[in-house]
Amino acid sequence: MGLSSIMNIGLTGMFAASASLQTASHNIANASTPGFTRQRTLTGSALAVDTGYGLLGSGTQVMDISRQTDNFLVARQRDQMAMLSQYAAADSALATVETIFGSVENNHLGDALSQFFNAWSSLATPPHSDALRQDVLGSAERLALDLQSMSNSLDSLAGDIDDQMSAGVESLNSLMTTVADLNRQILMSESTQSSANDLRDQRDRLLAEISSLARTDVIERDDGTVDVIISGRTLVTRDHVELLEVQHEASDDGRPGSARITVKDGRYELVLPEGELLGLQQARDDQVVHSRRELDELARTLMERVNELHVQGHSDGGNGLCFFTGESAADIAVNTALVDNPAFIATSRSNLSGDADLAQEIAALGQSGTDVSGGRSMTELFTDLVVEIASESAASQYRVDGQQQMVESLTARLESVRGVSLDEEAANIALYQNAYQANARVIAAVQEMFESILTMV
Amino acid sequence: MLTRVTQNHISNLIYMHTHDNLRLMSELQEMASTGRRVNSYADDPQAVGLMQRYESLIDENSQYLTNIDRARTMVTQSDAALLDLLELVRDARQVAQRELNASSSDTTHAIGASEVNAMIDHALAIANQSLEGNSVFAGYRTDLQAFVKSGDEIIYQGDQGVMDARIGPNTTMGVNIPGSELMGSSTSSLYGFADLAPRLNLTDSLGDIGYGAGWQAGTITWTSSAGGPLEVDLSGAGTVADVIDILGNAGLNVSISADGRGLTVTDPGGGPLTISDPAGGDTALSLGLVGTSADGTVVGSDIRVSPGWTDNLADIESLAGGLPLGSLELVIDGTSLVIDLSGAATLDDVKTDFEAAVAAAGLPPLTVELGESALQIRSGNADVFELRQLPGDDTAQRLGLVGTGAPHRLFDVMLNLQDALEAGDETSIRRATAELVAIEDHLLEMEMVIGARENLLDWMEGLNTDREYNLNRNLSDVRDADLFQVTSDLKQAETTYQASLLVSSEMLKMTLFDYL
Repeated sequence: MGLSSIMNIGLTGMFAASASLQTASHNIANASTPGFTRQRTLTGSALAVDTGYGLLGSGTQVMDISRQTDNFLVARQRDQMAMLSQYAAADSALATVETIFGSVENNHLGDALSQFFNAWSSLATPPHSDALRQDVLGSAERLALDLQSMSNSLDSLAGDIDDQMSAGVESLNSLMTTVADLNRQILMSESTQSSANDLRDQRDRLLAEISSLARTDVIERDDGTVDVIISGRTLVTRDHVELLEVQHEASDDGRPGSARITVKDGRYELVLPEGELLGLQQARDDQVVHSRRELDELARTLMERVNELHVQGHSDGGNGLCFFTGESAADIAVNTALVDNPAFIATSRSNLSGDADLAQEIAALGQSGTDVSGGRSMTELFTDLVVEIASESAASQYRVDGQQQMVESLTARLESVRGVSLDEEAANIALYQNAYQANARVIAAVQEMFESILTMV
Repeated sequence: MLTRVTQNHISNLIYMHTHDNLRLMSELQEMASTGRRVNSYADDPQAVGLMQRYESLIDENSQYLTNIDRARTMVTQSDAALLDLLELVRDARQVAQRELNASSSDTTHAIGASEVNAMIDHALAIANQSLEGNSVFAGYRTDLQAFVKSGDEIIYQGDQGVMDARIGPNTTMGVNIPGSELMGSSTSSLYGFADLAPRLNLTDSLGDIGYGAGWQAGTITWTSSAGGPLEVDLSGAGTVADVIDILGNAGLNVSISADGRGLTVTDPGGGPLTISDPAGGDTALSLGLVGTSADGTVVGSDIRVSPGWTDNLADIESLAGGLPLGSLELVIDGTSLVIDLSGAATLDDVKTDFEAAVAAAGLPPLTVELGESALQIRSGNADVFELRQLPGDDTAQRLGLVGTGAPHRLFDVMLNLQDALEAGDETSIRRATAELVAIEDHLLEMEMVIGARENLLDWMEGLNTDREYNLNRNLSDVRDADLFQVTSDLKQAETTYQASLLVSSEMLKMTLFDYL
């Protein structure tokens, strides 16, 4: 054991302090980096030297630079984020559906229905006026156009959601490809060095993004790579990726049908787990399609009930005509024969100018207390539809708010584990600075000892 | 409980909390600017349901008010037309009564016929009026003129249709009166032509004479062989006997006329005799005594009292020589019934025996009523019936009950009156007069119907206006924000937001680096 050994011990100390300072600086520099996991330099005593009279310490050494994280919390956050994304996607679609159906300030379909039935009521009320037939026609055309417009908007929304799903799947493919690439880099990095912390941070962030789209199970292999499993299907294995695609199916009526997500060879359909994609799929196949079905039902009921009365009517040259044509809200229209000749609008079964029994009965379809369907009038059926949408929208917002709180709570707990505390890093810097200075003092002492020896020569 | 608190965590908290504060302020600001508590469907689904319901009910209610306005135009026009027709019928009746007067002649009959003809044209114009192109009295045939002249007849072109207006929840109201209903009764009736007023009696009250019109108390003047003009004040008279006594005391011989219709005044000096009213008085006229006679005898006009059920048949001049009554024949629904009235001593007996006989035969009920001076037989429906004389028995003729009982229409009666006036047929004029009374009653009934409709419209308008107010209030309760509360909450949220910004900025400033 010589002075050189003592000086070397000082040097190991200075190196360890320097490494710790560097880690602290790295932490401070990335304090605001999304997904960054704080790092900690682990040091240990270097192997002692057996001198025959005992083991003499040989200084310190850096054992590892590790990430301070909690894999359990990370996994839970991924799961909860998946649900939040799902609820948020559905909520966003539902908010659009709500807007299509109107608002508190602009109850357009409700107003159009009221105007239509009120126009019939005016036409039915003596003294009768042919000019009021134009009112009936005008209000009917507005009602039909509103229903068509709403139906088109719902179809557009379904199309938009399809586009969002396609973009989501593209994004999922891109993220999985990047994860596979990171797997490869981490495998290479960790085969020669210790933990590839920053690459792992990047991979965790990407896994969180993947999980937002579709809840992901992640299994880490011994070699540091991860398998990405969605709905029981392993889509990423080391650097191998199975890409996904969206297949749209048209419905029987030629309108946008349901969407399926399959592995690219098309043999395996992915049953979507929680996540934004499932939220979009549910919004599209459940909420949008359901709302469109309800709107179609409303339009069909309107057409059936008005037509079944109007065909009983007689007017000059226009006996037995349907008032509305079409099959659903998408194509409802006022019979062109009536538009071309308003005199064909039948107000009675007798075709007597003062008789307005049919007009009275058609007007009554919109009045409270009339049983159009299930004991409800036309306007009440629409009110039921709006209340259903309002209830779903409110419930959806409650779900989003609740899930948001859950995610925030988990984020806070995870931040508590892996987040960078500037105060903590400041204290560490002071600590490591002191350690560095102390080790430098050891070297200085050895230097003095060397000088004492040299002066003896 | 977190073991480590990082700057990111604090930053996240600040973001979340300031975001929550801002969102609350945004919601409150939206409430304040719109005045509404509910601004999107998701805010309160239950409230949205109520709002939708209230809004549709308000629209519905508003339409009821519009319908009431439209219906009122038709009801008001019908009302005005009815009043005009009523006036015409009264005028026609006055013409008929005038022509039944002793002073009428063929010339006045012709003038009367001409007046009635003009009234028919006027009535036709009233009955054919339209509103916004809708014939008011044509039922459902609003595109047609309700009545047209066809030869000597006036034909109704409309139908029985009653147009309804919906004026409230589950409330509809007939707006029009079909011309068929307007023009006359829907029940058959036969108006007797025999004058059944009893002979003038000394005990008759002066208030009842003139068929109930009464007399005008006051003074009469006369000029006789004894000179004049002389005056006598009859104000103290109460009965016919009192008048005879007072005038007798004044030097005139007064008695009830031989036909029992009025008074006869004779100048004891042999005349000439002139009786009149002093200026501004109507006493002599109301006693039927205005007139001049060269031979000193003024035969007064008819001032009998109206017949009553208790009147003895023996007191009725037209039945004189024909008592006891015999029988008459009723034909109804193809069935002939002989009704024996031989046991009747009063008009009430005639009614009782007639109605009992019809009921006993199981025929549709007929009722006997008493008009101004004649009997009327009325059916409960529009079925035609006929009353006939039996061979060798003039009972039916004496009671004036010969003819067909049928629904009486305004135009038919007026045309009949015109014909009767042109022909100078007093019997037909009398019958037409009675029928015009019935039509007048009918028009008054229609007027009551219209009045009831106007009342219903006013009432429903008030009800719907109240309903509109209540619905708007309910809507406001559900939808609108309490602005005092919102303003207060907004101020509090502003304070909270400012405090959180202040605290946040202070917290973010502090690190350990400041102290090392």
